[in-house]
Amino acid sequence: VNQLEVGLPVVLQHGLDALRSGVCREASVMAVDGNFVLFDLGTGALPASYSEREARVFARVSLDFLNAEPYGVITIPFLHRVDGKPIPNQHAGHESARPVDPTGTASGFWSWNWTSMPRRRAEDVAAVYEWAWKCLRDGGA
Amino acid sequence: MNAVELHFALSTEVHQRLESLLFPPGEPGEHGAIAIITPSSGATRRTLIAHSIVEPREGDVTWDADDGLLFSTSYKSRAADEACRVGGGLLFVHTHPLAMGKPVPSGYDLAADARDLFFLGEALGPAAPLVAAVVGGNRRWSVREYQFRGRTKATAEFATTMRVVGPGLSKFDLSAMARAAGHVDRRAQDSSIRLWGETGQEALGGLRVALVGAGGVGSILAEHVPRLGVGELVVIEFDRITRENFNRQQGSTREDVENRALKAEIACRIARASATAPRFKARSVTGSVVEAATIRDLLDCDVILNAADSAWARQVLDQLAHAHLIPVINGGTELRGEPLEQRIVSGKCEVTTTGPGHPCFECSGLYTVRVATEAREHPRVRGRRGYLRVGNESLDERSPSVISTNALVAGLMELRLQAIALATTPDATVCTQRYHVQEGTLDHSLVRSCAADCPRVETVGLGDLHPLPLGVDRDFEAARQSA
Repeated sequence: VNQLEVGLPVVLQHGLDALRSGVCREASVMAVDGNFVLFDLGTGALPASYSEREARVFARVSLDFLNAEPYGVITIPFLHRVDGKPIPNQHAGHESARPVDPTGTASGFWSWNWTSMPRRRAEDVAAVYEWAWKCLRDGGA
Repeated sequence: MNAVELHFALSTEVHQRLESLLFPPGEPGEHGAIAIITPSSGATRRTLIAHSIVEPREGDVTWDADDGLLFSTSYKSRAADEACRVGGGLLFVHTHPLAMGKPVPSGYDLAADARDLFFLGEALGPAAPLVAAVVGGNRRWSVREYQFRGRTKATAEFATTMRVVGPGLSKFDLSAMARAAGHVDRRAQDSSIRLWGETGQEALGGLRVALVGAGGVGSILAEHVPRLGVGELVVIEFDRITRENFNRQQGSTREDVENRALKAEIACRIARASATAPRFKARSVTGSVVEAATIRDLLDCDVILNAADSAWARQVLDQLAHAHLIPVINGGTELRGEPLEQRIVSGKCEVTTTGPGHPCFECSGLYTVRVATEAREHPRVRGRRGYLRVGNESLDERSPSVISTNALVAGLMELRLQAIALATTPDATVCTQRYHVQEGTLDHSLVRSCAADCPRVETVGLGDLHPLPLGVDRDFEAARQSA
């Protein structure tokens, strides 16, 4: 993991520092996949609208953050709503989740655009934590 | 520094301001100024870019009968501070107003260079370009870059070419003190010489043009641009000809399809066969403009024609155009058909330019960051419908396209190239031209400059100091793996 962090662009290294010093102390780099990095945001409790009680959450951020946006949230496990309705934009076995779920059976990939997330300075990376959890709250609402 | 050529470049805005400082009306005599210099490092060309001027204050520039023109200590100190802030080097420029031939640095000038540039260079570090220039009364420049090995050992390399960029492009041969001129074939180029004269034809012959993308639009440009008379073409493309794209690949043959020939090599073959400029050169680069390995080839060029259909490529070229002072002309088509009704239901063809003096592609609406982000994905998860690709959707979601509209776009791009390089149509230099396929009409957008808060403005002339948004082209990666 340290090697991956050292290899990150400076902007993302600063962003990861901001994430750790703020909302997510346990944030780390899970993998670098193509032009994206997967940040492990740790495990958190889910709203009661989900059958699962908690999920480990990953945010997928462009290696060229500032010029490109984050795209996608991954959860382990694949989530289900209590009411049985499908969760919009959650995919099982998605290519983009392979770095954290090689078998493609344990995760949910959430196609999630971050279009209006702040993207002016490195520290804005820290916002992925709130956005990822907003994505999960919306998915259960 | 292994570059073969040394160029000097500046935006029209910086050039005009420098001229106003160097030749103030009603004030004869020598004048001078200091500017910040940034490097732009191509594969065979190094360009010294005058990024910005350190504005002189009262008493900063004086003339002394014994020592010639002098910059005050506080002016030099401010300039060094600014060079540190930007990360660049320094240009000391002054005039020899009585020189009407080739401006030559005097003994005073050389002594001042050894004294001031050397000491300031020590403070700025070895990567900072240290440059001096003399401008004659005929407004001709002589620009030299120094390498110091101690105060008394200096080597100077003189720039051979100067480019003033935005919104047009003026290229000067500093050794001949004239517009940069390529070779002309009066007989083969007679009809266009009747339009823009032999000087214009020579200017085209002096251009090195990059062609990004050698597909539907690019393959047409690969033939037309050499016919226009440009001196050199660098074609950048990694794709190969297939049966599926043969119907809009100008100049390709069935044999090329059988051989799965590289489009860039086909384009170069067609370019060489079509060129009208004597000693024309064409070079193919199998690469992607979003990858670092290809960028240096682009930085060798004077103008870039982008015919690649990728928002990420447009984002990279947009930033490159501003940072390195290389205008980029983009062209593309977007068509939607209703095959059962045998008609085109919507479509547009657009040509836009970016670079100093032009709005950036983002402000022109040519791409959004979201679409440029999508373009960074692997083709397995991207697809034409973006992130919606799931399950067993076909990978081959080819956009509708036809050679007829490609030819229209190529023609508009060629006209824009003429407008930029020769100022043939000044009113049609800065705008997006759009052909509406349904209506059969051509209009232009009202966007003539960037938004007030656009970050591109701050990057003009930063050269290598501006990090381009590069990465791994997943399409090129897939092509490499399947080759």
